[in-house]
Amino acid sequence: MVKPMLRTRSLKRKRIRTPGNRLVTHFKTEKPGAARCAVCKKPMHGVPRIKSSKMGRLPKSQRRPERPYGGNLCSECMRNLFRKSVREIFKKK
Amino acid sequence: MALEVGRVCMKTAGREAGKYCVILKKMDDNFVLITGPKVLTQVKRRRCNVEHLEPTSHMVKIDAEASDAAVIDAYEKTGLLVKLGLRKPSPEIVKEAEKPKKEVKKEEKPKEVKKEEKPPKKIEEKKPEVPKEKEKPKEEKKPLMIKIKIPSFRRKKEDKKEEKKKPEKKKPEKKEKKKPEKKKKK
Repeated sequence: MVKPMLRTRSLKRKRIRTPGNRLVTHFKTEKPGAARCAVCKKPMHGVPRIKSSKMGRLPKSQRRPERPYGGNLCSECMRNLFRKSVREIFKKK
Repeated sequence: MALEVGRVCMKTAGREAGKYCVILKKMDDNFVLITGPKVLTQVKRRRCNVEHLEPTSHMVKIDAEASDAAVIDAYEKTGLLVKLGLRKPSPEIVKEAEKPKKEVKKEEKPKEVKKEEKPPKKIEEKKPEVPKEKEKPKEEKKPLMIKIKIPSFRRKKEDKKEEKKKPEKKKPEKKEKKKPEKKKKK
């Protein structure tokens, strides 16, 4: 029997054949995928890969970057958005 | 759009992104000095990279390195406050923001030191009351604290030690009497 700690079904199990020709199960905690930008779909910096239950324990400044649209848009997409908004105002006048 | 003194821009990087500011001075090929001012648009007076600014079509008439109050007046004359949707702050708030804050910080530090001296006195008074009933190890810690302080406290503690020793001797006698009684019943 494995340790009681490892018997939860919240852990991922992987069967691995060892060099001595034995079958062994390896246990791993699941990790969510990296957060992605809503426009360009690239993985973003500054957003940790933790379960949402543990994310609540972090201070707010460590959950996402501190700029507008932080955690939803990457820095370049956010910059393009503000540039467009300013240039549209300029065209009308 | 050229980046001249008085040009109204929008910041496009960092936590101040999406907020309006005015150029006050050209420092380099790459850097300019800007303000919101902070009271108006929350952009503080700072050096800024030219690539992080997006110029608008609006201009404000100001001198190079003008004060925050002068910039707010210039905003009002051109009617930009209404166009950009900004609220004009009261003159009292503008005056407070311009004052240097260094003096306030110096006053706070000495107060903290005084507070640290006071609490230890309170703790010393409470401790002597509790130990009368209980263990010996607590008694050893107290005298160290007391030596630093007033001599009147020492006399009280010496009296307490004598009282504590007496009850300890009595307790073991009672236990011995009880044990033999149980054996007789068996």
